Amino acid sequence: MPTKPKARSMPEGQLDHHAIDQFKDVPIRSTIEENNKIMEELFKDSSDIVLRKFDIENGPKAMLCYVDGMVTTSAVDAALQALMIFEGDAFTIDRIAEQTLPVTQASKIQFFKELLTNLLSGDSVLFVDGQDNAVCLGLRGGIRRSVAEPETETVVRGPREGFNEHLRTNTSLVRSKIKSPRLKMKSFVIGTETNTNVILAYMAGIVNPKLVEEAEKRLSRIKIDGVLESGYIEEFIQDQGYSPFPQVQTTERPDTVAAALLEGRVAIMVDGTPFALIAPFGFWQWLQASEDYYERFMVSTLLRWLRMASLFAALLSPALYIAVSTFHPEMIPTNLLLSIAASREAIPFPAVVEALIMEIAFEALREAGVRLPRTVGQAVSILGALVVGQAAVQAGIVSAAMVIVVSMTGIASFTLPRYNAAISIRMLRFPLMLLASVFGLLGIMIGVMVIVGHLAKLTTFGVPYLAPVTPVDVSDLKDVLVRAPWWKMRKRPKYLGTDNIRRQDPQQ
Amino acid sequence: MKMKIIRIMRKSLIGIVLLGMLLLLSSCWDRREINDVAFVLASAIDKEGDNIRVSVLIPLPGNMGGTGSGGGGGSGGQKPFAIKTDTGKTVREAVSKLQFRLPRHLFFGHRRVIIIGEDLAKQEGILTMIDAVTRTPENRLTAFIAISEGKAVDLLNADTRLERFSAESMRELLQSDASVRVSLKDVISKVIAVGNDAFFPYMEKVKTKIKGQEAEDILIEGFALTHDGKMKGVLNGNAAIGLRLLNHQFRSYDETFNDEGNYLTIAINQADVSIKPVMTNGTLSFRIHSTVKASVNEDRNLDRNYDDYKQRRQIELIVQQRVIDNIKLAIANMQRANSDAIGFGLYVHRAFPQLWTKQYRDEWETIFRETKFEVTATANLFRLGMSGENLGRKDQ
Repeated sequence: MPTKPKARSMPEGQLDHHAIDQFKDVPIRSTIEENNKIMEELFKDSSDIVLRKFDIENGPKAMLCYVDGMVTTSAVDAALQALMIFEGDAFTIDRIAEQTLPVTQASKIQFFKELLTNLLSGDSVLFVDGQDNAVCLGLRGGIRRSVAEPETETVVRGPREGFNEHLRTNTSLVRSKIKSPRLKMKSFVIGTETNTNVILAYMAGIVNPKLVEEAEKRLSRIKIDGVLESGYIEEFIQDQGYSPFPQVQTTERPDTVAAALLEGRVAIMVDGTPFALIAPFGFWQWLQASEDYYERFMVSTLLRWLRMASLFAALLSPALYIAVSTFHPEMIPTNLLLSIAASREAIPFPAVVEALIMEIAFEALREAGVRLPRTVGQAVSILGALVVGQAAVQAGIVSAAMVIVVSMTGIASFTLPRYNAAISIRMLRFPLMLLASVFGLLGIMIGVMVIVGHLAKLTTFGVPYLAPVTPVDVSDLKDVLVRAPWWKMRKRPKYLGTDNIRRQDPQQ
Repeated sequence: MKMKIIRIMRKSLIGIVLLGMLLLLSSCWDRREINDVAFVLASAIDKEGDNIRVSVLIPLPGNMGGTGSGGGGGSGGQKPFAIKTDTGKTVREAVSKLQFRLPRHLFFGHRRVIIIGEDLAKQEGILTMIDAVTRTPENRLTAFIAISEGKAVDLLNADTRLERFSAESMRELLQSDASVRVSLKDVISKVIAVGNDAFFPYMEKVKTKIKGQEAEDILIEGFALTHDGKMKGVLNGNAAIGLRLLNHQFRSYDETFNDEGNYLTIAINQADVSIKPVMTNGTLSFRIHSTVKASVNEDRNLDRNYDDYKQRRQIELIVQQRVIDNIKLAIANMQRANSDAIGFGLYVHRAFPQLWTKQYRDEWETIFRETKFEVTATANLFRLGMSGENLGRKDQ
């Protein structure tokens, strides 16, 4: 299904600081002194790197290196203890790695690149004098946030665990949902300086192999110094960079990721951020909340319709108000029109200016509420409600009708479960308002046609953005316009190109 | 590469300039803020000498007491509407003269009621008015149209107190059970048909004279009959009821009967009429049958026993007879005014299309006056009210 990739690679040869890559072929020396010298030179002025030299009981010198704060200190202590009271005469590195150390993960490494990668990811590295190998001890630890409720996607009913910043926690959350060897998690390291671990997860045998191939290709093409959030990756792997619409879904919820994997999508998890990416991500997923699948299907269907109406309200209601009130007053019922006229009587601005003032004030309030510390945020919302809601109306600067329109728009935009889709909708209503103020309903029609045309042209990992509505697939509509009961959703979405279409036993 | 970029930039620059010019060119710039529009809710058209007087009712949003109207709620005795009026040789001339006196643009898209003065309807007819109000797209064809007794502008000025605007009272009345809905669209379709004449609700202003409660009410008195667009007569009282029974758009009403000295109020809830043109020996006549369903609203006869079929049947017979009388009265009035308000001609046209085009079509005006009507009726007393017998009667 995925079509040919868009050219999005960095020009070659411009990135000159491959710090770790320089050590690709540098072997580990056989004496502690030499190794120590290399390490000290590398980590000069790095106070957080600990190089602990000690003698193995009755044996050679050894050195343990780790990043302070990234290891479990008690486990390091136990390992040191085991080494220091080491008895016997065979000091092979194999023996240490395989028998002596009370450590779950231990591996031998030969080159400095590998060593540095592991060390900086939190492993401890043990050098032993006379050995040209080092032992890498998986004693990762340190302080990290515990699994908490996802803040951006709360549900009434459904699992309350969300991803955190630790990649392995996140993959384990997904793995604990899908206990199947089919769940594959391919590892990538992206970022020449940050060396961020990135996982591409998919269900082998369910997902379209071409989709995985395409995702791998797009991921391995990224050449950047650092990846601090999945947003970096998102912008590199999307099909159409200059589109207002998100083509990759972000989620904090392991259950959402698991559901997407089971449908035949791929997920990309990035170390250091709780937001995983899911692709492909089409228009109709904007309206699907994870809770839709946990609540009873009739309720979910109605909520989905409500969201659909809200989508239009969020996009169009200020524009419609402007167009109808300044170009087509005959469309408003007489009594409503008179009420609007009465509330607008003393307003000094044209409707479009009034709408822009209010919409911008609303966006500013929202932004202030998001950025500010939570305690101050409340003060902002009170201020906003008082100043914008009441004082502005009483002072006769904006009309009550406009306040209603703006607040309805705001509420409608908050009902969309996908935040990244909701902000693009919020952004697009401004050009629509301007079009409405110049051309009336005709302008809104033009704007909507342009948006729909763009959506129809857009693809997400080669899948049409509006699929399965256009191109239409009747059996896939059961999860689009409605949420069919689970016992009716027997097949996976066909538009994702999966070979393994059945998800339920037809004889059940 | 560089050349290509320059070419693309030049092209897009030209495109932007052209689009910008489009904004300046917009000839159909009908953007108008609500604050600059005077919404006409109702208009009255009268004859004044050789001229036509057009009056419009415009709500004053500032006086409607809406919150946030800056100057505070305006209940301080000021009427929430203004009536403006001017004259001209044509309706549109009067409107444009009126426009010159107003700071706001007159907007007719919300006009729901058009009242035509009796003088105008009688002397000049409504056909020229219809042209004036239908030629511009702003006008609603669903606006109700009515003829007033006396000056139409007086109705606009009626202070009904129940509604903010007289236009609103008139609109509610004209679509209520008190009337038959006659919109501009209905009038047009009747006027253009041969063998059909328009009729209009006929309204007058009456006064409530209770001390401290003085008010003016608008009453639908009956129906004004027209022929060839000119008003020819009025149906009121029982004749108006007859017209309602004949009209397919039936609205329930009640009527009081005198049954051997006892008054009885009966509501007619449903009525079906069948109108059949019949040809006997080359003469055209109509057979009209009306089926009504009636219910008892009030009975002053304490002794009537509703369990007795005969007594119920008696009521039905009274109703039946009255229905026949009403219809006959209405038809007689229509024939006198030579106004075929029901469209009997159209019934002939449908029943005998060839005869109609050959024989009747051109002479329908004269034939209609002499046509015989045979009226029958069936009444069915189907509801006696909540109690079923008189609760005012002593137990026996």
